[in-house]
Amino acid sequence: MSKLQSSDKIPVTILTGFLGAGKTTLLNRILTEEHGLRIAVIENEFGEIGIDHDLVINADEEIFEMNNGCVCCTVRGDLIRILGKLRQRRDKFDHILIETTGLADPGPVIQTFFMDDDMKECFFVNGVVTLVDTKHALLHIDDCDEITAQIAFADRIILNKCDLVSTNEIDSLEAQVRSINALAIILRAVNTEIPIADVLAIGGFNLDHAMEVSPHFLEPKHHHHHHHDKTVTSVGIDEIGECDFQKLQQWLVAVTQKQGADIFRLKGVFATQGNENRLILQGVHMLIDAANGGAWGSRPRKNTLVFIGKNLDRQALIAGFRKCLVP
Amino acid sequence: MKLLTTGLLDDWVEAFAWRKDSQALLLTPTQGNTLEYSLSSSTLPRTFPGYGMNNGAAVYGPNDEICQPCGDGAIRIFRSEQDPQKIAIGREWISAVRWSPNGRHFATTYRKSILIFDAKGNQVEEFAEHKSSICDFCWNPHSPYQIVAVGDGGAKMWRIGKKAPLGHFDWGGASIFVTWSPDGRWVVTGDLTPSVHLYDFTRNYPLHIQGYETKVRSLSFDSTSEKLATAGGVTVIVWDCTGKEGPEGSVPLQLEGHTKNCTVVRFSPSGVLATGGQDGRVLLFEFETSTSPKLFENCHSAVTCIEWSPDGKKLAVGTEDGKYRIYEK
Repeated sequence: MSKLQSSDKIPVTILTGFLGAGKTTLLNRILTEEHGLRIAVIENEFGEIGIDHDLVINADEEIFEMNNGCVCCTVRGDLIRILGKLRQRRDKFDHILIETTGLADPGPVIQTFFMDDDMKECFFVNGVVTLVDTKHALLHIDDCDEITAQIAFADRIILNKCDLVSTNEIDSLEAQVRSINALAIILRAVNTEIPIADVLAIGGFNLDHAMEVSPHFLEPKHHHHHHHDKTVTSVGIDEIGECDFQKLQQWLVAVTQKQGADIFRLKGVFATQGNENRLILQGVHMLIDAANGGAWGSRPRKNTLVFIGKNLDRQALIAGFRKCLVP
Repeated sequence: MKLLTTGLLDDWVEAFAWRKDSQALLLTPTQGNTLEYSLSSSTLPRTFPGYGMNNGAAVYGPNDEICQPCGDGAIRIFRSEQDPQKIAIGREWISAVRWSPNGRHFATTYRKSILIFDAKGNQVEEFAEHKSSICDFCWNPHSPYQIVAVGDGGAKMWRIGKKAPLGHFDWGGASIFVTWSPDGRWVVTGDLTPSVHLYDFTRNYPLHIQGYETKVRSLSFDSTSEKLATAGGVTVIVWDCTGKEGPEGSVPLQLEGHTKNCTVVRFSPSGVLATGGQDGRVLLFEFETSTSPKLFENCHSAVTCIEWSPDGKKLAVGTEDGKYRIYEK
């Protein structure tokens, strides 16, 4: 029996969104369409996929606490068991899709992949895709914390059911979504009719691409009058120069230790002194994962960092980061 | 030890179970056909088809009936010359079935419940109060009606016939593996964070051991309950559990020899420790002579499974590539 090289990690896409946003329709499409991919789907316990499929697994969305002193460090206990089994059958599928319910914070799911050696060795988080019922979101985005969290965690947001609302309304919702999450790619759909490849983002959720596409979103927003200040915002930092790696590490650890519960995602590309490669950091709450982003080549050495979270003090974060720069 | 036989299963070797006469072995791959290999006869191995995505470890019952936890949410029991008895439990795969020490009951877990059956397969108990889905469970080898299960919220101990748990040991995190010492004194858990918790029943006293490199994936007591081997990293850590305080405050034996994480530890009935790692190595530690290992085998594929036969004369080794090797002294 030949096994995959351990460097062939399996991408995992996390699909979130409220009941009624269109997840079941989307999952059914993923399982029945001829896209040439073998996708293992882990559906939540209320899943109604209704297809008897060898690669559909039912999960009960259990949160396990990590006894490491951080109250926001929780992982999906049920996933550890399920993924442990899937790990043994790596050559049977190309992608894993995990569906979470609308009420669940996708944080613990993401953290599950960062916390465990076995997970890190076999899987990588390709990204979080949030499916939004546009009509429902317009009514509830101001008062529903769960919608805001799902938007804040997303790498890709699909505004579904666009046929039920006007273009103005979609534009307005998109602007609100953008003010929460500066980095996500936002797509519009009717009846989740969107290419599967776009949902699974085959080829990865390219951090660079996301950072390059929307640099102007890193600037402070002009707040409209008709909605109150959101507590979930994106803070972007963009600085030419190089960081002292130790200082950067210490600063990020200090920030995430103090504000971990409020930081939903952080993503950054850094130029560090003595390193000819780009340093990519991605975080969820208190967990930060580092990756080698390849050589800078002819690109200017600079640092781009985005925090998405609650109660973020923009000035303090910028000032704190600037202290990490090599003078 | 010489190699008696070797072969290939359908997939990664999930588990072995020896028959009590040490003459036959059940070999379960993670999916595909489970085999029963007979050492005493030259017939082809008997095959038991797998169901669904995953197999649970097949085990022998007290009358050598074969119990198979299946991927379709059922337990199948094969008694001689009959169609299997099928006990349907739920939708999700059944990961394990374990018989109590006196053979009167067997248990499985499903989601947050422990389910206990009599030898005929009738359900007699459901202990449903666990905080989360149960990750592992174990009978008390010393007291046939007691069972412990672990998950998030620590460990809960139950006794057949009692509605409320005998004990509850919650240290604030999740445990993934559990074992009970042969003398019944210690319940030991391997946790989600790299640590081990022990509960000492003689003193009703919990212990917490930290400092492991990675999650502790394998635990094994020797038959005297004196030594506890733990696998959580490259070094195998062996604790002395004798004395009033057990391992508390003591320095453990640290056994080197693996170049990658050790994933399986197993004491033989006579006290030889076999360990297997992701480096493909199987090491033997004979404590009488030294704490240096004998490199027993290099399997060139990560070791997933090791089981000594009850008579201590044979050793079965399974690896990630699906290969099994059976050795005899």
